[in-house]
Amino acid sequence: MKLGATAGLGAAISGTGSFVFPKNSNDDELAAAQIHRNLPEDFVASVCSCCPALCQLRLRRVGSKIVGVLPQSPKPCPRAYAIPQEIYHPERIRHPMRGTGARGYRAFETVDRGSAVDEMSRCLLQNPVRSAILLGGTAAASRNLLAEFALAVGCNDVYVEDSSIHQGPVDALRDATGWDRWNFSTLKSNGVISFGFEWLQSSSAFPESMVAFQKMREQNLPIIFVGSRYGTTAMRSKEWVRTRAGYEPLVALTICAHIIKQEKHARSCDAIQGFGDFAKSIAALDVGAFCKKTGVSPREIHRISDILIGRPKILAISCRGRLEDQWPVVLLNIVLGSVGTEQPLLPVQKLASPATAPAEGIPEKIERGDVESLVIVESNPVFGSPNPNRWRNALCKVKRLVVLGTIFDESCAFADVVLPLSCASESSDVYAKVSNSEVTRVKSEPAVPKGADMFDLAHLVFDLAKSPGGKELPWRTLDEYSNSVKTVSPPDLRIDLGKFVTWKDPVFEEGEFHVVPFVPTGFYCQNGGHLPYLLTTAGAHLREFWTTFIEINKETAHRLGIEDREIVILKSGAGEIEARARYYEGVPPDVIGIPLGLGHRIGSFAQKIGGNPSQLFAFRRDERTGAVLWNLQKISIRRIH
Amino acid sequence: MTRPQKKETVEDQIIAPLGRPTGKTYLAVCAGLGCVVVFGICAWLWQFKNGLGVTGLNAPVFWGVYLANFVFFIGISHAGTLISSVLRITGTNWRRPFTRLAEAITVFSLPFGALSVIVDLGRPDRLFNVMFFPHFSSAILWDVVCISTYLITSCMYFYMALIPDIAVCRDRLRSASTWRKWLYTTLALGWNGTERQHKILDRILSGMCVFLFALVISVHTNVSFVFGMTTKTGWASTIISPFFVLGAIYCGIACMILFAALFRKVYHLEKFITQKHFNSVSKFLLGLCCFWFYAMIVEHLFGFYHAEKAELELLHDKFFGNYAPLFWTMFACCFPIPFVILAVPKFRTIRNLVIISIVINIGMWLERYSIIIPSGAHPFLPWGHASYTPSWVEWAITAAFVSGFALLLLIFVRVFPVLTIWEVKEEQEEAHAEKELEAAIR
Amino acid sequence: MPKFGIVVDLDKCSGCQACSVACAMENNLPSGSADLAEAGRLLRWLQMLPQFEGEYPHYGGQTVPMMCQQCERPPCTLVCPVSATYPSADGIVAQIYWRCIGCRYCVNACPYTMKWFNWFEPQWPGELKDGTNPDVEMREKGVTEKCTFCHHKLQIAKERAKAEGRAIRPDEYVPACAMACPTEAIVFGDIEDPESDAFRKSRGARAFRFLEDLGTNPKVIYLKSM
Repeated sequence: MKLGATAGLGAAISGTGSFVFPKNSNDDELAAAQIHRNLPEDFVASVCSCCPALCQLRLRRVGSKIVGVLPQSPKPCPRAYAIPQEIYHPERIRHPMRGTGARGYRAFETVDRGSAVDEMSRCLLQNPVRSAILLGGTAAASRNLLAEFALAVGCNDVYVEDSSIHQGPVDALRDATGWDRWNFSTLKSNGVISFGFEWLQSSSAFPESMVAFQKMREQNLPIIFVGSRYGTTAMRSKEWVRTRAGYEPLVALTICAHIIKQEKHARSCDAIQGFGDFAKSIAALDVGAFCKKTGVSPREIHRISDILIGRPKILAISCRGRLEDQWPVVLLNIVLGSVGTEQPLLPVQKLASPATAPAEGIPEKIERGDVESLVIVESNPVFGSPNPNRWRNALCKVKRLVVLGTIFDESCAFADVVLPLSCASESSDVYAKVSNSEVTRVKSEPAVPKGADMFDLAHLVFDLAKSPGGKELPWRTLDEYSNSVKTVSPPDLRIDLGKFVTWKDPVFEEGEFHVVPFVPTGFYCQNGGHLPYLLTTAGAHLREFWTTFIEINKETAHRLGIEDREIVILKSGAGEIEARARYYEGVPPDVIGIPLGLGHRIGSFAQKIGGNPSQLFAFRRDERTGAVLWNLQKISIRRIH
Repeated sequence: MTRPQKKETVEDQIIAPLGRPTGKTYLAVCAGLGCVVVFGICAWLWQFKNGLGVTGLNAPVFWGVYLANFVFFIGISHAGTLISSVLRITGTNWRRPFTRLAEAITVFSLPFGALSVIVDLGRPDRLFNVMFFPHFSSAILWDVVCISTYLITSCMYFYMALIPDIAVCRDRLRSASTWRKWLYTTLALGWNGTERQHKILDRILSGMCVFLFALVISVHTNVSFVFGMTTKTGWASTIISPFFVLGAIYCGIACMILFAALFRKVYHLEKFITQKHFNSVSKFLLGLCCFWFYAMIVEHLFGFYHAEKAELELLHDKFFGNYAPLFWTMFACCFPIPFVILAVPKFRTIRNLVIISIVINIGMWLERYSIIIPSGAHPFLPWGHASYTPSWVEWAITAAFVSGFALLLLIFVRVFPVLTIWEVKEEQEEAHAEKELEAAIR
Repeated sequence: MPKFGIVVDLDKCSGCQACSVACAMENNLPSGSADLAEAGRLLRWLQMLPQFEGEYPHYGGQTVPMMCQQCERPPCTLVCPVSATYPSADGIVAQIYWRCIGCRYCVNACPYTMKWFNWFEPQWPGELKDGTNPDVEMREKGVTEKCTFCHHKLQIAKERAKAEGRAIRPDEYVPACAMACPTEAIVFGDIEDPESDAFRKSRGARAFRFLEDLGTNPKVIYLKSM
């Protein structure tokens, strides 16, 4: 068939037009390409500041607009490619605004920069003891500078957004070694066993995980996922070990006990003081009872243990859950000899940054009257926190509220004054990036000029320092500050098992079904639901776009009379939302899978169907560590009619 | 009023209704249909302005009601040519009172078939690109060719056969208004019914009959190629062309019966369109009904024997799933109901025929729908859920098409005789001659 | 003439969908809206095909990145009445947006359902349009579009090479999806050049094409997951 001939004929006729593509079939040419060639095109090195991975990119700039993102190795997650959508987002805050009316439903009017800065300085400086700062996003130098300033003027506290769901068992590691900065280096490992942690989907070291995954696949290394839900990680793992929701760490403990009993533990363990006695106590644990609880058979435990001890440098990872959830995984790493500077679980340097407190303490402090004015920087607690109603109530009560951000979101709707911040690609900043066991500083320069009314956080802090009531800072520029921050290296490792916390069964919230939450790729800290390109990727395995959905086993659904794609009501002690029920055989009958980060109600890309799943989660916190617990929630489901 | 002593000729009896003043009911019906058409035009303008998104179409159901209408209207149009050309060639007697109506149905339904495709285009403003950049391996391009040829030819054919009757109107409708007189005079082309004129007309008509017959087959074959030549499950089938042609004739004849019965009643043509005629045509319909059933069985049987996953899923969905109510309604409308009524002579009353004509037309429309939409909703790859519910725009345009078609017919029968006078006369003369012959033999 | 193709190694695909978002960004895909998503009218040239089977606990499968399969014998170009979609001289199935009459015949003819239709005028709320790729034509309502293997990149690379009087280098022309893939699961290249990675992979034992029996002969080749 000579199709080209006909097409060529048609195209040749079309050659009469001046704008046509293609001019003819031999000389395909883009009119648009010609347009832009008159404008300068270049590529600017930049950083994706969406998560601690701090992926390095090259932004494609044509005529002072960012029109594309080119990845650098290791390659970033989907979020990075949506950076232009973030810069030119319809809800991008471009001018300082003042809110009037009831908080949460405020009307906003543009105000001049001066009065906005005045409001901010009043908020921080009038009664510093009762004012606080909540820092979201990644720890850029400008954020730390603001924290330094706040602490210098005597603020109540500086709080940071909670990201427990993206973190590993750092608290148990701190208890075991005294050091709290760790790198769960999948890249250094010869295989990964994950206990319910979606390290291929929501790891805060996404690019590294990807490279590691590629290597493991090429070398056919073990990738094991222990969990109840067949999520992205289970899908791509070599093995999926099904277990009861919430009991994943117990499988780790069972494996530990099995390995120790067989005396197959790593030699490095013998160097640990008191390991012998400790091993005895572990070996004495009732493995059979554990197997019954987790639903993983002893034979399966035996098989997995053999895989794990068959190779050095196997990394075990899990979420930062309860302390008793964290310990088994840390212990497994110890037993496998995977902890140490040359091992996949390695201690990392840290910056001597100002001390911070977990953000979830703020609402209580507001209720108690300890915090009267609050500055929120690039964080959306009204959306992303468990039980956001706590925040809603608190933010209604707080006397002064100033929000600094790039996109107008749910938390902005409570603010007295909203200050527009420049994006990472519009301002210069310095980021602390963890590579291997070191912290390196990544500098980023503005690729495009920021809007005339937007603020550069560092400049804003220096301005505040000069304002009446402020305090002169010892640095004049951001660079000066960032260079002055010292790095602290981890001490020589000494593992101490004295603080080991024995397993206790989790206490779930009231409800019929376990909720297994997951964070879709690119939704770090539930941030990203405002970007339409990401909204279409969150539910790809069910081809569910935009809508908040739940994964429900067909059997359960039939029992409840729920049809596929039906909108159902999810209810828990904390709240009630609507979501679309999707049949998914990757969840057991007693489990509901739910994505976090969908369900925005503000903005051009807000959802029409489905609420914010965070509303279902009661605020649970491990009192010993302060980590927010997302995996203890249970809910009930009912049909709308 | 004609006086009893003066014998009323066939011509007078047939054109008598045209001479009567326009009735109120007629005007009301026309106005009603006109409103629907205007609303449909508004709906189309709305769609033109906003894009095809105002329909219920989506991925993967890219084609919907518009395409069903397309196949349906093109199908109906086959009645005319079949009755008047094929039966004219074969010299079937009972065709005579139906020919004019059948041809009118052809001419008036074809534009709506063509319009359905235009309405379905995302960029109707670029319609003429098919002329500027034709791509000859596309079935749609050939559709454009076939349908336009068919439209032009059948219009000519229709007009040719109408000339002698226009002349009758010109000569006998004394009471007609000036514009109508002018219309008749112009269109009659100076016909005065000489032997030579009759001979020429006869020769032209016979020639065109053959051409039209070939066209009928090719047009609907081409329409079926649009679907059959793709790889799509449920469309890609070798029997789809004969099945389409058969279905087209089936619903076309039903449509013709419906209008014949209607105008017979309204214009009191009982003398010319007799129970005997209806009896004959209903036997013909019965045959088509059985053939349709056969073709349907064969088509679906093939699906089962292919036993491809997508194909089986499609069949399951049609027979027992989401499309089951639609499919079985369609089936009931197309086979069991008409079969029982047509097969039992006792049930073959004109009232019943009208009812099943409506039923068959609904059934055949549903058949087009259940060929096009479920296949669209069942792509090869497991893309998951797909649904399609036509929007108000689609219904409005569909209603406008049906109304427009009826309106054109109504206007036509108001101005021109609904029976082919010269053919009816022929029939009566033949009958008379036969009687005389019988008497002579006796 | 090189025969450009994509090899997708399903064993290495992590399901992150960086390819999908990078594609959307590169090719100016409209952002869409909740309503469009609900109506099944989102345009994403690269989507994940869910391929799962079984029942809990014996459940398996994964999502597969799917784009236009760039058939060597494309069913879609055959049926276009106006040659708005045609196999270009580069062997890529191209789309001419201004010529498309929007009949959606090609969309129906595509057995992979990998062609998309603009049901409405694409919306670019706010200043979103500022961040679009000037190399890629913006589409209007009523036309069909699909993955073109980032054809514009090839054209730019060709022009640059022509200006410098040399042949194009393989690294000059890489579609956005292959460039974005963090695990190198998507490999782009000349599938007939024995030197290329794509060639080597496409001839492996794990290689397969979707709906091979239709004879469309896609230039997107998948490698089975192990």
